[in-house]
Amino acid sequence: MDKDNDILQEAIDARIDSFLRGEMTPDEESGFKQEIQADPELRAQVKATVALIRGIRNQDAAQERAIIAKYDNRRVRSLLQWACSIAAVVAIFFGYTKDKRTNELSSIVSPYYAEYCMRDISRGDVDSATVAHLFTLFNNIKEQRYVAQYIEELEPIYASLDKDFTYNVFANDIAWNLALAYIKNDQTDKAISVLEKLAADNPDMPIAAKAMALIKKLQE
Amino acid sequence: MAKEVSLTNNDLNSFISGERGKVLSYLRKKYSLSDDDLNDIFQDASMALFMNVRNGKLTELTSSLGTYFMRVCINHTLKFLGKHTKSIPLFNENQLTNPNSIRNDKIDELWGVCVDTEEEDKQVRLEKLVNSIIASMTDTCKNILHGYYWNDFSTSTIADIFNFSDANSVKAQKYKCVKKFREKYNELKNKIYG
Repeated sequence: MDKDNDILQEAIDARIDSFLRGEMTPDEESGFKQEIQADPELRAQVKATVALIRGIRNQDAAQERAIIAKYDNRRVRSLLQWACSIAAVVAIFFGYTKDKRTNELSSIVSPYYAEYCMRDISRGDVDSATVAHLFTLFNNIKEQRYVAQYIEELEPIYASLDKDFTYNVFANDIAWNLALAYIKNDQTDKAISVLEKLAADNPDMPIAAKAMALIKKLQE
Repeated sequence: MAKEVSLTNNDLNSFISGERGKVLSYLRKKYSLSDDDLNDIFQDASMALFMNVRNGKLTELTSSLGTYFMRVCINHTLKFLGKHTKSIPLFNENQLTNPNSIRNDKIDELWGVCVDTEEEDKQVRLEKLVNSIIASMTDTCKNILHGYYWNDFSTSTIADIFNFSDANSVKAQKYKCVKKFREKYNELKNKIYG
């Protein structure tokens, strides 16, 4: 008896599925709807199943919307930045030279960028999602004209390096890219301070020489 | 003062970490690749997802984020195979997801047939009831139901992701989960509303 009931219910589930995927013909659809309206037991079964599907989809959709919307805010900000860059073009047209300054700063840092690729890191010993995020930040600092938002993200990570060892493997890269971002953002004092600490933390290492060379260039 | 942003608590980060097991399990079953290669592919795909989300390319997703990410991972796998092997296996989209996705308009239509106006007043309470029953389900049920009804994965894809023997065992298990939900839903609803 139970088995018969299961077979019947499975058949109803298959019809619900077919309806929701738009696989029924119009005649099949209206027949199914009429059956639901006429049979309270069938209606209860369909209703509970659709309630489940709605519940799952609403929960997951809300979570995913939250993830994408969070980054959408950044998009709005980047739209604002586009607006700012248009304003900068207009400003240059009227004799302002802020853009010239940005270009000067970009040209100082451009020889010092590195391309960050996931394949370069040793396998399995770091959380890949964290590294992907970090490398995306570094690459954005290299590629994007306005980097204030990436500074906002890197600063707390840089500040946490002494307390939290999650990012220790990338401590030098974090400091280096933060310094480049500061320079690009016309915050040379902050850049020099980060570079000096980087050089002090890595005596006799190539990164220290690189940091000192960049400081010298900035001071010139 | 800069805003506190923790990478480890980042939503997208958590999402990618949550997908890792599923994606690797699926790719391992479908393609003969070493764990090291799979890790590399997953990392590249994670980075691509980050870039696409950040660049606002996902505002008009036609599938769930999980399904989109799975496709990104499959594309990276095929690219990898293209570079490292002579023949690239064909990828059949219909094997990954169901040929027709569940449509929101159809859900609303069928819901409208089942619900009368009197019941509409109880909607918020009933939604809470649904959420609490879903939360109390086993992980196996949650995985299958989310995979099937949200990601639109085919039952054979769900079998590969969650290590079921085949699509039929997924179907059987899915039926049991839905049945259990229905029983609980109707029982609690009757208790509350008589």
